[in-house]
Parts: sequence; C-alpha cells; structure tokens
Amino acid sequence: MVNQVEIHPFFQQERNMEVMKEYGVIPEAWAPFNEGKRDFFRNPVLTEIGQKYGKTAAQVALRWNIQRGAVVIPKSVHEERIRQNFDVFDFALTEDDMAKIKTMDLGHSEIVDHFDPQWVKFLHSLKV
Amino acid sequence: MEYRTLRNGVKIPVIGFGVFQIPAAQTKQAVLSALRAGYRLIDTARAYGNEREVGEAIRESGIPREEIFVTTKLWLSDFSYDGAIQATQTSLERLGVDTIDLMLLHQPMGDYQSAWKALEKLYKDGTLRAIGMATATRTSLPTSAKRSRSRPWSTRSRYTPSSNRSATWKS
Repeated sequence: MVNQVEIHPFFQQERNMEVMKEYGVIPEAWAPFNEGKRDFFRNPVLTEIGQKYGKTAAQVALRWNIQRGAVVIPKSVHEERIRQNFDVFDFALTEDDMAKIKTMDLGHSEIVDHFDPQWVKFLHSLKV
Repeated sequence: MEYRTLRNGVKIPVIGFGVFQIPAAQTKQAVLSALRAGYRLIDTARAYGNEREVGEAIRESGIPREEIFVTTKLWLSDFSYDGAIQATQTSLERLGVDTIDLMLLHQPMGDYQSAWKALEKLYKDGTLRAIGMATATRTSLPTSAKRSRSRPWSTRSRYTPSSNRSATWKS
C-alpha cells in the first residue's frame, strides 16, 4: 500500500511516516518543493548543502525525501528542470546534512488544511 | 532506476513525474520529456483532467507499457462501491490501458471505505496492481491499512512485474 502525502523540508511528516512504517505503507511525497512557497528554490540551508555536491536546492530536497524512504513525484514543464529533478542519484546527503534539514520543519502544511471546514467543503464541491 | 518494494511485491520507482496543474494541452509533451529523461513513473489523477494525454505520451514514447508505472487517483465524487468501479473503468479508458499500476483514493473523506472495498475487488481481479490512499492522516491511514493487512496484502501478489502485461496493452 502507498500513502501519497505532502512531504518536504518545511513539512516533514515524521509522525505520519512512523505510522506508515508500522503498517508497511510506502510514503509518496507530493509538493516536494512546497509548491515554491517560502522562496523554496533559494532556501539558504538547501542551497548551501547543494553547493558541496554541485546540486541545486531542489535536487537536495528530492534526495532528502528519497533518503528518508519516500517516493518523490516532482512536477515541471521545463525540459531542463525535468532533467535536473531526475539527476539525484550521483550524490548522497550526510547525517549532518540531514540534521540541518531537520531544523527546517514547521510541523504543519501551508498548502492544505484538511481540518478546515471551508477547505473540505471546497473539495466536496469539485466536479471532475 | 532505484525501486521500493510494496508489501505485495510490486516495485515502484523512487522518483516519478507528477502532472498536477499541468494543462491537458501541455501534458503529452511534458510526459514525453520526462520519459526521455529516464522517469518511469507517471502520477496523474482523475481530478487533474489529463489522464488521456498521459496515455498518449506513454504510447508515443515507444517504451514498453510494462516498463512504465502508471498511478492515477479517484475523486471524492466517485466514492461509493459502484462509483469507484465505474470511475476506474473511465480512467482505464482515458489512459488507454488494461491495468493501472497504482490507484489511490484522492482524499480520506466521504465514503472512502466503500470506495476502498471496490479497489480491493479490482486489485484481486488484477485490474489494479497496487492500491493506496492520498493525504491520509495518522488517524485515517490505519483504517485503510488495517483492512489491507488481510488478504491479499499479506502475501505476495500473483501479479508480479514479470507477468505478461504487454499482451493486454490496448493501443
């Protein structure tokens, strides 16, 4: 079984991932770049780590998710970005890198709130 | 390509190409670019409105169907047993495939438990190779995960990656 949830350095979902592990569920990360919010692609922590490996903040964020056991599904319509996002298998983050990224966690989403009645109402109103 | 192995033995690539918010008119080109770059997992959803274009790109790529892991998702408005069966049929037709590698329920809301029963039925008959949830929380996840601990999740699926799915590929 798979559970596709929002996971990125600003919303690390540690407790949710523990439950998934308990049930043998593979986490899949949507919005791996926080939809660009908080100036994600120029984030100083991710950028500085990336400089050591010749990688961008985005690539570091994808690598971080993969090393934590998630499947990542980045989106882009730009050929170069599409290629860059796939180019994350020739480096590895150290424990120190992972510890630095851990400090970025806000502990909540800034994209969706499934406990907000207005948001739930909106989702139920969508016709597809 | 690196993979993770689901409980039923199905292998999923660790990186995929997501098509959320890609307009249908741009989807085929974007997916073709991704497949050329090496991606072998494409993640779409009924609600994204671009399943048809994902299917077109897969066929046009010339890459064998069984090498590409296709994920789609059912929307809330189809969360009933019969609704989920019918909506899966629609997704199969739009994608132009006979099997879907991973079907997710897009939100842990509404009557997702009835829809989940439908996914289990479609999993058992081989239409879906794996099933799951999206945006399941710490509280809603165990509801589905616990159910799926029963057969057939606890044993390896007979629908292994080596089974001859290309024979059922619809063009």
